[in-house]
Amino acid sequence: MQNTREATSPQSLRHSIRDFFYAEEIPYGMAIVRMLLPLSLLAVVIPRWFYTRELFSLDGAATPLANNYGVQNFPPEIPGTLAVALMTILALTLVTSAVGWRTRLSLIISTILYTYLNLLDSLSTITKYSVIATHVLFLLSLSNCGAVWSVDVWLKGKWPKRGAVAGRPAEWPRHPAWQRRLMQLLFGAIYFGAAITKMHTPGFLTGDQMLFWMMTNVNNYNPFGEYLTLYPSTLVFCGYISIVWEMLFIFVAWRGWARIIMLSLGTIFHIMTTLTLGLYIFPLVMIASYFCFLNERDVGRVSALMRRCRGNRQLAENPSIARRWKLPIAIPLKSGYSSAAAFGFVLVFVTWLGIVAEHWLDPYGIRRNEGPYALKELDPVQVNKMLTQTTTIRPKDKILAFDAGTKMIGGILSNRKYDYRQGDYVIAQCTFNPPHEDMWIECNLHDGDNRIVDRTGQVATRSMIRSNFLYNLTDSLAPGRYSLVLKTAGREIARRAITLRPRESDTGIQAPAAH
Amino acid sequence: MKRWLIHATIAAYLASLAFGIFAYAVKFHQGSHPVMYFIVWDMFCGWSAYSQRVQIIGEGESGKYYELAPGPWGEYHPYASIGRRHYDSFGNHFNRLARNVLQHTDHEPMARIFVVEENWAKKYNLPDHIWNRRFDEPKDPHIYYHVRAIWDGNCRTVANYANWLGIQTSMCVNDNPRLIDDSRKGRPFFTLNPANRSDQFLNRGQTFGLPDRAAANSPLGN
Repeated sequence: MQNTREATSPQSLRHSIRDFFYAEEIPYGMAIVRMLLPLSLLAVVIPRWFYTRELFSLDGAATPLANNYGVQNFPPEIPGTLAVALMTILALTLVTSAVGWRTRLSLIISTILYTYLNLLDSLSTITKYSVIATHVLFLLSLSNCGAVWSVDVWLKGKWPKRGAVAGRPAEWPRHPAWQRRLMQLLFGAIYFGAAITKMHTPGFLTGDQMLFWMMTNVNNYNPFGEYLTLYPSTLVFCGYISIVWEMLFIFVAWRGWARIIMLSLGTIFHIMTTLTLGLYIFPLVMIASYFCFLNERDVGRVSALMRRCRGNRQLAENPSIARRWKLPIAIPLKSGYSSAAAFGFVLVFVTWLGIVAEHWLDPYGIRRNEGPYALKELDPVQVNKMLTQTTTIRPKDKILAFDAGTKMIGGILSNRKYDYRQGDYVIAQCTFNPPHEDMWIECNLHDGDNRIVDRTGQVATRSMIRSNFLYNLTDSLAPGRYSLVLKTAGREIARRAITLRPRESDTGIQAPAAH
Repeated sequence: MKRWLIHATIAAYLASLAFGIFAYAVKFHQGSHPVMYFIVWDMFCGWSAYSQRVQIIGEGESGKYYELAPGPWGEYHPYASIGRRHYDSFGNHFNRLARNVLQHTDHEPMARIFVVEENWAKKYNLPDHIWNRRFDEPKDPHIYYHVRAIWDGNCRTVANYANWLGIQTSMCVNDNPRLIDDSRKGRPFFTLNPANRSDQFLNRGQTFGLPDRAAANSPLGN
């Protein structure tokens, strides 16, 4: 009883919060994030470097995010050459952040430049993964992630001389964990917010949003996603699993099996976004940042496992990682000033190199011998076609699919079936492409000679995504081939052939054919 | 002092994350400033059943037509094969894209510039082997063209229209005689609407679908 009271007392809560944020630890997790995240971002930054002038400067077509919010000149745009210089510095500081050279300075510069340049290109650069990366870079720049596995440590000659990871973890310096905790809470908040977004999004839990998204290459090629459009009911399950996982993440992803399950589900979720939606950088950023959930004990376990796998117990005793990697222990730059000067020199030199290279590349072709490019002429017939507007949507385009089956999950036909027996029920489902007006939809049953055997219809109001028609294939229908014919305003839009066979008990009896 | 600075940093950071979630959950100031983009987690919050692309076409004074986006030097493709201009779903930046191309190319003076949307049902994006497994009908894609904006030769706006999907949605709502009658009650016979100024440009050789503009100008549209 006493213990319970103590555990819930304000003082105990204060202690828990203090331990949570200020417990000292070796920042292994943050160091791994520091190494992986900048490398992931380089996959975005390097291809954009060639288009810097066009994407981020006054000499191009910058598309500031702020314009979408009705705010002008936020942040101010800069001339082309300066933009190239900043982009070059960003690329360089991402590299130096990853290797941990002048780590804090590199991370601060990266955070500022990455955020600034992102804000200038809302069409192709800033997106939610870049916002998440901005947060992570910001927290890394506050942290002591450069105290472990970095060039800075090596240059200072402070790389532990003993097997630091497993045998002597205390040899690396220890720091309060609050930056790592904020990063973990950031991910909890992101997933919680994403779950709220999914609740707000009409069509998410029915799988419609995902279904239509998988039919595009608006991100990247996604052949598995296209294949999954054949099984739309699976998206209902995926939708519920992801929303529950996202809601729970912030509450349970802290310790024990729950942490492993949450992080594993997260990794699977992000890999699936690559396979189904064609997202590449988003999963890289998220999975790289997941290492902020790594603590000292995890590193010790992994290290011990690696030793066991190698079967070389000698390694635990064995001396320093530096010696194992054959790094020179005696280092040329002993003073911090030398390192800073070398860093400054590299920064200036690489930036100059970047500016010269971009000038030489001449992205707009202004300095070509032939002079500036001429505009590409268009075929007037094609242009006239494009300027002649088409307002009425074809009936067949108002329909996404017309399927027949027997089972539904979450309102979606889960099995497409075209072979039935007398006495079966058939569900014909029509899925619409919104927007569509209030429509009269008929689903008629035609026999093998295309005569209407049964006729049924209903109003599909403009808010409906699906209409279902239930047919009872009674004994009054002779076995044979039939068609389900979908019509609107008297015009046929789609047709599905079905085969009706005799009841199972009657299979021995010869039934009259329906032509 | 350092301790208190850390306390303040933690508190401020957590408060900003909490405000972002609150703002989006209850729709409070979620779009009030670009900074909100950094704390609101509304990833992939919309969808449509139609794919959309954008073409920017310049009509020279000679009557020839030119491609104003992408520029003749090529276009940045942020993802896969789709050019950068196609990601402007709000249509806020087409003008800047066109100005940049005009500024860096050799060309005759422009008389008019058109921003044209192309829309088609997303189902036609499916590769043939998936299409054949799902549909009995042959693949018959159709592109719906829609003039989104008309500018003069200096890229100054002459007319702006709602996007094609917005107009289609309006038309679906307007497809109701009682509603149209109700909306017309109390409206003055003569209206002054800047969009009407576009008629002189619209009638130069092309016929545009008037129902579109009627829908766009209706009180139920947009």
